[in-house]
Amino acid sequence: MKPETNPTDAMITCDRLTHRFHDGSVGICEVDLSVSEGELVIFAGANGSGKSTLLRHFNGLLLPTAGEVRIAGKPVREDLRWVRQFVAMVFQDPESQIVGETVWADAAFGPENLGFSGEKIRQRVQEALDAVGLTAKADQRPHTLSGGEKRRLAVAGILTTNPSVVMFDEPFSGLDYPGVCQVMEQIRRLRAQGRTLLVSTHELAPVLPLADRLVVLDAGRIVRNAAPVDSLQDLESLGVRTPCPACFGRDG
Amino acid sequence: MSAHTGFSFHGGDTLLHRLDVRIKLLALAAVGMVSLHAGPVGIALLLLSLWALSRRFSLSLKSVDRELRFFLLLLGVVLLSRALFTPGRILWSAGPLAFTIEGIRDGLLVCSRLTAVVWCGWLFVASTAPGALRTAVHGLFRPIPGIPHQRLSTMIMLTIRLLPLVLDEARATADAQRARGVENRKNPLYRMVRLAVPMLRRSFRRADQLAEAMEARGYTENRRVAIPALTPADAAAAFAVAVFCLTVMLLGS
Repeated sequence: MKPETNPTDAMITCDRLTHRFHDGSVGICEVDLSVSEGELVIFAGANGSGKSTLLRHFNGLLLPTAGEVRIAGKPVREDLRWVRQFVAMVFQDPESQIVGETVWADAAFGPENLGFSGEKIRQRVQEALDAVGLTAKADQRPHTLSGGEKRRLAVAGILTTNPSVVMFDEPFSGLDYPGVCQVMEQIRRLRAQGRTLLVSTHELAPVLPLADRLVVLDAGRIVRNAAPVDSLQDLESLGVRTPCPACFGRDG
Repeated sequence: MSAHTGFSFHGGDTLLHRLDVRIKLLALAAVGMVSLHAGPVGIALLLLSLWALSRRFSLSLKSVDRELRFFLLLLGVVLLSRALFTPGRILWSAGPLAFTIEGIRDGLLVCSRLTAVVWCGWLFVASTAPGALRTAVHGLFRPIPGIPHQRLSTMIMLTIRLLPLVLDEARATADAQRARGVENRKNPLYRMVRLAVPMLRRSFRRADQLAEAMEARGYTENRRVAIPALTPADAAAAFAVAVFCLTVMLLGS
């Protein structure tokens, strides 16, 4: 059921990727995966199925115990600094991602790390805050923002480094409906810009209509990897709630 | 959510707001040290100057009343103990307790010095944006070899960022425990341990998550931090503080 991808233009390639934790437990096991440029791929699965562990290999936060991950053809472990500029991640809990004392300072964190000039930092931060609609709150302290605004700030923080791949780890957890809408607006915008998007989520419904592919993990292995419409059968046996038919263009 | 307190940054355009934070930090250290050795005239001059500077802030005493409650209690204890235990001419006595004139004078002087130090600190915090403090520390320590100025400024940045979160978590944990009847336990040690253990666990977990997020955002110690240049007004202010400190010291202890 794998969609056909040309290995030469693959943005992300996993080749028999395995990760074993210090206590000996297996996080992911012999995962083969290829993601093309501009694709939106959803990663679903029950808690502990290996979604977050897999995503953390794409920006080098975790390195494989066996196998290999390549980003744009380059092995991840070869240049972690480059990989983290190329592949950005919005974490499940945006509170833990926000490090600045103000909204502006947080958005500037990435470009400061990359050693950009003062003028370039100002320009990147201004553009990113404009893009997520937080310019008016630039001087506000981040902990005073709402849940949706914090995720928008997390998105602004990664936009400043202009990544080609953006990963969202459980982007809808703990958000109310307006918060989910705000996150979806950012995902739509990033997709329209042609970035490759990887979304790990339990909540398929909001993002499924935009997705090119649904990958389902179970006990560290990929058990489904196909277009969403072909992957939805019997999802609940894999610990994933089946979204309502209207979300994926079926009437029942 | 953590509310803003009297002891936090208050935006404005006063002389103190405009001063370079490095100058303010050095002035805070100098005035703090001088005030601890100042005599009655010197400390009166210092308190008068602090009052004049504070008038530019639209902040009433009431707004810092909550935070100052324990400080006022401390001042009361200091004054009482000095008045009771300093030998000298007895002003009033009741049984074994005797208040001496020298004790009261000494107690008032110590309390004034402590007040001056806290007042200086409040003026610094109220007129300094948190981000500017990080930049100032970076700029102050950069020329000194052997001091990891980048790490130091990052630590300050994270402390400022995380303090409200830790306070929020402490409040949430305390609320959850109250809801489960912890107040029925009379042993304060038991209650403290029950609050501290989950608080520490959550704080360490948050620290791990933060470190991971910083790594993902390409954190490096060789970050670009723009240090603003000192202006003639900053130099003049530094000179004025130096003259003021010398004057207070010359007025005697």
